Amino acid sequence: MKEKKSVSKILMVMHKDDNVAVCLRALNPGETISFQYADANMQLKTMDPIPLGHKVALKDIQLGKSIIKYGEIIGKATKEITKGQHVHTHNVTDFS
Amino acid sequence: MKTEFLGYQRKDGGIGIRNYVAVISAMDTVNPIAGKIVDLVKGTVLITDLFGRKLAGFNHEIRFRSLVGLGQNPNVGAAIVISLHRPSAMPIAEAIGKNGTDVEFIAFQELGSTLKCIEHGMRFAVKMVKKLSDQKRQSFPLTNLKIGVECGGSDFSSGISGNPAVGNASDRLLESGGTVLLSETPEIIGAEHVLAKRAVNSRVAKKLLNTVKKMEALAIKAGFSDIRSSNPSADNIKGGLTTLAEKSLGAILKAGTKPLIDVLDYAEPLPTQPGFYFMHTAAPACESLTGLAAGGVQLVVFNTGLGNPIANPVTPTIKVTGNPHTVKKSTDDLDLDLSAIITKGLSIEKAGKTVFEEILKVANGKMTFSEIVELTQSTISVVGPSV
Repeated sequence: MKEKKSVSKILMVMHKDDNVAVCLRALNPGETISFQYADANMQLKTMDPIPLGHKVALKDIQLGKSIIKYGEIIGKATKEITKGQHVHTHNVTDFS
Repeated sequence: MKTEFLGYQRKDGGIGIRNYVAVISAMDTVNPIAGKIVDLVKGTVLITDLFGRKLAGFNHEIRFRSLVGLGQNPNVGAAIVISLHRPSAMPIAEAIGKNGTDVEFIAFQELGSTLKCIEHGMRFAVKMVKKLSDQKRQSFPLTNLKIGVECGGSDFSSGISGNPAVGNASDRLLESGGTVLLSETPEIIGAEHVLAKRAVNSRVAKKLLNTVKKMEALAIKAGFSDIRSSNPSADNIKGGLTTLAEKSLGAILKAGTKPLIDVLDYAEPLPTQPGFYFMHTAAPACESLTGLAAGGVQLVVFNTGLGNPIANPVTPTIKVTGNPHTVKKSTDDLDLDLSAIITKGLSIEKAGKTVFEEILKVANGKMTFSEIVELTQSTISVVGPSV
């Protein structure tokens, strides 16, 4: 098992198919964050304040589309979600 | 990868990672007497019961199966069953003895006094501890190692650090031929379809989905609000969990990714075929841990977000957390600090390897905090009213 150099991570992406990531510290709007996504280095700019442990959109997510975490559907977007926005109960509903 | 561990051979083919003498109280009236015997004899563990003979039917079956399962756990080399009278002690003792475990029963009303019960219990316990302490550990393949995976006090860290790391260790054990047992039916609601997809056949998938349906019906009947609409809780939402599926997916991660072989009822003995199993239990830690121990796991890995001190008396329990604040607050209780996943970008693979290595160390005899300080409790589920 190869181990990349340990770096302080800000976002935790749980699965390569996910369109959200978990913030490992509270983020302010307008921060530019680098993250690893499917082995590529990517960036996003935060659009909202996002508390520790909450989710940020890694991509634009259209109304009614699935929110994916752990490679599984965890809910549906109830609004258009833009990359860098806070993803939570205000813009997501349970899919069931 | 290591493929063996050191344990104690049992007559029924099971392998213990400890060599305990279990003192089992089969009625609340004699719990204190059982406790005195354990206080006075090193090498014994205490299993108490809160309800005893007032239970009937379904609840009586659960309780009987649980006490017998605890007495037959591979970590138990000998057992004493104590109760108020013969009819409540002897059947349990006889059932435990069927797998070859040395067992004795004590009926208070026959011996007639507390001091006589303590003396009788001590004599047997001392004899058994002497015998068992002379048994040597031998090397066995990991196909004989069965672990339970538990989480409690879950928070934002659980689903992104502790649980995935424990899940990685679960996969390592399953790939080495071992057994992993997941429990807590209420905690899989919302992700049961994901687990059902991993079932080895449609019978097992249906069994899992029916187990969830029964639990939901029971919750409503018992006066709880609907589990689906009351979860995630306000605290969960504040911590960043948005939906029930998200919460439950985070919980099932700790059992790894392998096929689900079967679904067991509460305290039902694990089949001999190794692999990944689910056991129906309630969510509170003591009840769940008691079900796992009665099912025959030798060890539990317990991931806690906010902290939780408890373990079952017969199963050494490795406490882990990925929450850096909890590491600072409850250092004493923790056996493994996984907070580097969050603070230093430690990979899940590396963290999982650490958990797996700790499992082998504890299997080989390394003591966990809850064992050293004896932070243990056995609690058998009671479902519905008892008379």
